[in-house]
Amino acid sequence: MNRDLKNLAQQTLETALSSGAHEVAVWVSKKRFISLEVRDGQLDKIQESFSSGLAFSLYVDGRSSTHHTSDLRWDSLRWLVDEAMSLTRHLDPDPCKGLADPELYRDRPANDLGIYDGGHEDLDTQTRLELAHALETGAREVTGPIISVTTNVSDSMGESYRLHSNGFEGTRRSTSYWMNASVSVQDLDGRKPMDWHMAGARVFSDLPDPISVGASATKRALARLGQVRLPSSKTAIILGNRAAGHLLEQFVGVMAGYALYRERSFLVNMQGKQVGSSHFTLCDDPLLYRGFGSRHYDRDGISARCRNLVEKGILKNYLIGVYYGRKLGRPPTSGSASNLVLPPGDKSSRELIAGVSHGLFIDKLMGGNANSTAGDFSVGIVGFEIDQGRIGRPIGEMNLSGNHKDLWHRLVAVGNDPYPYSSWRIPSLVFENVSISGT
Amino acid sequence: MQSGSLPQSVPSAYFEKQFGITGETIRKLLSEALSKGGDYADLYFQHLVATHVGLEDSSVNRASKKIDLGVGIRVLVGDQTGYAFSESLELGAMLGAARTAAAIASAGAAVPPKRLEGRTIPRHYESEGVWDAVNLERVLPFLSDLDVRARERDSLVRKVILSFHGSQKRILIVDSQGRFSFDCQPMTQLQISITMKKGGEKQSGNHSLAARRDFGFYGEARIEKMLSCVTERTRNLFDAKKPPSGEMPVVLGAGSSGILLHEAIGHGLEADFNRKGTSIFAESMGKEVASPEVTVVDSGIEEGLRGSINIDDEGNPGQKTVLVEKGVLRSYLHDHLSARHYHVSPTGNGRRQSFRHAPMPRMRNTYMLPGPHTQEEIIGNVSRGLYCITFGNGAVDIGGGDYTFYVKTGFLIEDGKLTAPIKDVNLIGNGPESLRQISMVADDLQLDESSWACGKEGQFVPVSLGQPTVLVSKVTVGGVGP
Repeated sequence: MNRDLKNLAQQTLETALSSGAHEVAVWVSKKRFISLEVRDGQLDKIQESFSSGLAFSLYVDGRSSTHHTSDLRWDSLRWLVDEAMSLTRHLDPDPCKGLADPELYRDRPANDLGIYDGGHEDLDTQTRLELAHALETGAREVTGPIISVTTNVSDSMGESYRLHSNGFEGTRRSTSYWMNASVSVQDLDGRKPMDWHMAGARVFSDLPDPISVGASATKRALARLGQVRLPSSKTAIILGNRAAGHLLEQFVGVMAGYALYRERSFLVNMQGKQVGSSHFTLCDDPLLYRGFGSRHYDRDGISARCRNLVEKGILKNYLIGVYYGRKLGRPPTSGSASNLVLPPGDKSSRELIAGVSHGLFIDKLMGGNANSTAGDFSVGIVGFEIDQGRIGRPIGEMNLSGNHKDLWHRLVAVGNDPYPYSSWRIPSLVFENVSISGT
Repeated sequence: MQSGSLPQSVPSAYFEKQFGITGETIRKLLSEALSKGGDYADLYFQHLVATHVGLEDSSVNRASKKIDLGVGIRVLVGDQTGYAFSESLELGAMLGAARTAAAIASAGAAVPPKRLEGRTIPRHYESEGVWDAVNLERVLPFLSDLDVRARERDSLVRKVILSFHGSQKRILIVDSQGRFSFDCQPMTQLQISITMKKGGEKQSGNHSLAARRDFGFYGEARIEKMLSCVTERTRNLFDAKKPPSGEMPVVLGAGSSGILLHEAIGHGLEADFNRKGTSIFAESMGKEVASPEVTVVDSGIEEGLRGSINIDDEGNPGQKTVLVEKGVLRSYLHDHLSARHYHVSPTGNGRRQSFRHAPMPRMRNTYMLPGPHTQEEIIGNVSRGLYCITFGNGAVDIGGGDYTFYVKTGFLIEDGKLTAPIKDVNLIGNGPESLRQISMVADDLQLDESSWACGKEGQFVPVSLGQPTVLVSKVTVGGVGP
């Protein structure tokens, strides 16, 4: 981390303390970001930036507030600290506010997370451009009624520094690389289905072959031609690894301390109880090598620990940070998930499909939502019919609905294909007897 | 003007006074931006000051301030874009960003403008200093009072969470044609979220209000309506069921049901998707895309409404654009790039989340004009279907035309009458098909005052929407069953 930004954080902390704050947390970050987009063989857009910002939380007489700024001129920061102090003094006191107990900072892991690629600075525009063109070459190697191919290559290098007045200090540095191909194709009925394939990695050499990424995007788009709608029914579904995480978000979202405290969670008082089938295990693993969510400490400064949230269907831990931990009278775990791992099974998605005589393979979810208090959900689905263990016609304009208190008990099998390009490593999931609606 | 100060007669002097952005600075930046031969460049200076205050457990115990300052620099060559930004308004940092954006081009230097000329624009909201600071002496008792009123209204209320926001965004846009425009955009939002408990069962509900207005927006009538809506709708949830699944007629209640237009056609008319040929509406200009009952406008000029803009984020005046007139497609939503591509005037839809992003065609306040029917008539016309009242998030597949949005509350319609309350159901349909299936439009247009945010390619901008009560004769309902 750049010396100037570190100094600025320290100076802000000292200024706040000398203005009367009892405790202060400051964090600064900087990021270099480059993105390049190629459309139909021509460079369409380049975006490039160096950015930085500073944020701090103040604790004054049991009162607290948090502030963010991108204006790092010292006079402006000084003004913001004064404003923040005055704003905080107007608030009602809240005994649960305050920095974490320094005990929670102890035993911070120091293993190499593998999330920083030292070669990042050597990557040049030409290489990025070649990658973007290679994605398109791959996309166009597959023949079909292609309307347009857009490819995107982006990468970033970020650093952050966190400082707490009660003894926490931490830095984090990471890189990431992304590539994406989107392909629009022409259908006979006038529709222009689009689909994409993307890949990402913490280190450049982990990126897959761009030709195959581009080709997958076109294959996916072509597979959408001739979409049909099926009648409403109760059926088996396979949620493909691209879609599974999105449905799981609605479940994990209500494991948060604030959702529990506000009683806006269908998982209140469910710790130690069965919330899904024995196939349902979910581990929050902050130390995963090269993981997109890997970290040594969280936003409260709590040292990272690997823990199961759900184990063979039994809810083991919630995601509780320092503040809502105090509100709920429970020890904090962590206020946010890092890498969420659903341990893979032993069958490929092809084998899972072969095991379903009739049902749907769901590749994408569209819109939809859930009632966090009651657990009811309803979401749009896009995918394929499964007929006698084989992929059939593409389906869309249909909904999947149910209740999360019931759905996860219907999980009967888990694939061996965790989605690799997200901090959520969720494989394909098979559910039995769920409601889909169509014609 | 050759160099030196910006004209003092215009409020754009704000950036000169606060950050030393003079006419000379601007000329240097534009000159650097065009140094590789770009055919257009613009600078977007932004200073945002936002304050947030929150209440939970009957105490106003949280607050935050946010300052977001920076400049975005864009260079165009034909349809190609180079974009860079700097949070620092130091000349060296800004020149660096200008150089980066310039690299999209690779010819000799183009000539920067000789004169800078301010544009005068009509105003659709109070502009100066409305939310530079939030008056805590006023807001804190207001929130505490709201909390008490929500709890007193219904004994089932267990939790009340309130969130109040006031912000002021000042923007200065200068382009390589020498035009400069300044706006000061206020925004306020109030959100209430309640949880009720009845026996062992819990239900929650939300309601929000948002506008480009001052504190006077939160008048008694509006607050009273907000409280009665949120408590009544949450109470109804205890008896609400998921409706059956499958295709059925759906009546969309007046107001926030405008999300149908936003998803089913609004996004598909954003000119970038059409320029690229990837929207389902790409070959539909001048053709019939909806039933003749349907006229849709996208307007930036509704007084004080959340999606209104005096100017868009490229400096073009906010205006009212007729998208669909009696079923016929009349215009796309344009930004500078697409207007240039199509050889039409910009429609004032070039918007961005902040200086960190290049502008794109985006909606403002999108609504349908009223029709000849009444709400009673429309509901009376349905033998078995749904009446939907409150809505959540939506999404659309631009190329395929399939759209979806979430219904939080409503009623079943049986034999022309509202019967059992319903909840939590996703609707999904195909845009072009649904627009042709709008068979009745009522006379009760309402523009919604909730805090809608529209997302596109990771950028969020404030919008609003509106609609009279309409009947869509066939939509797929993600209920229970079969």
